[in-house]
Amino acid sequence: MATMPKRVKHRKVFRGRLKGLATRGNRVSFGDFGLMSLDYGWMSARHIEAGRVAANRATGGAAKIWIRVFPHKPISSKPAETRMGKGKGDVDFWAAEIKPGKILYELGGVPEEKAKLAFKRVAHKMPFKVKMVKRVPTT
Amino acid sequence: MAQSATLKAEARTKLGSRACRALRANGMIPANLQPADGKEHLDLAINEHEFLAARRNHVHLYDIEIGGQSESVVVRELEWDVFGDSIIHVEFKRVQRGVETETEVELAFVGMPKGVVNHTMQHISIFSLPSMIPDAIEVNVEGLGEGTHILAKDLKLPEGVRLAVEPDAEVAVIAGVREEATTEEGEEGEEGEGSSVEA
Repeated sequence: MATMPKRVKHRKVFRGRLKGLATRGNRVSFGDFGLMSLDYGWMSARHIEAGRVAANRATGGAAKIWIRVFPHKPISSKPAETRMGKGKGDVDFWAAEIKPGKILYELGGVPEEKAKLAFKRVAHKMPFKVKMVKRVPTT
Repeated sequence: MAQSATLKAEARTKLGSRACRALRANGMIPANLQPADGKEHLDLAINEHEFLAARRNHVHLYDIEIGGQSESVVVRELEWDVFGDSIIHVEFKRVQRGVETETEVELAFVGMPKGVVNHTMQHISIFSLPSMIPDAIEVNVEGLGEGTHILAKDLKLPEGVRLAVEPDAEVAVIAGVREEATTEEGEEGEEGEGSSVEA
């Protein structure tokens, strides 16, 4: 099921502009492997769910999956064939704002080959380019 | 395994992100040397190629030559770029060759357990001679069942290495896979008074 916030401070927000790189959530922190975004974009709640299902099916339910993003941003749109004006459209879907370097999913409990296959399936569902990453040494 | 490697370093006079960016473009890595034993903090730049070559040879003790003097150092912390492709800064710690020092070493989890490894620690603090710092400490999780706790005292340490943490400190726990866990950051920033919205 697609996720959305339980409650929000503002019902509708501006579209905003994505720039810069991900300064938080850019390291594999929980699992053994991660899927990193290489581009900017909105990742809708449907994308997140589709990726989760793809990873789950590819690993046969054997892996633990961490979803590192949440769709906080309400995206509004006007109905088709509507004249301009009459206020801002209704909320259409919820999306996570993604910058390059953001870790989207993490996998644990599976060998590297299986994680690679799972992330390949997930990559097909993503609206931007992604790559698989591992932990980096700190010393 | 080589005992140590020599790195030629230059003192950095220009500091700041712009100067560091220029250094990186010229194949250098900005670094610094922590103060110890009355010696002052030093900002320096090392050759990226030399440093990476030494790391590939599993060297952990470096002799930094700067201004005609040589100092023995170990890496205290590495800073990577956002994509984890290149090292953008190195923090060195001064050491004495024959004296034990405390360092952090990566934990390498080996094998497939009957569950998922929940890492409580990613790296562990150890005491060892600077020339005997291991690349990583192996944690064998092969065939371990759900609910097994791996403690620091269970680790097989190489010769000349001893723990710098409590022996009962938890390193990892084997968890079962029931359903996907959801973790995300920055949710607290979105909470507040207001009406809920349905999509």
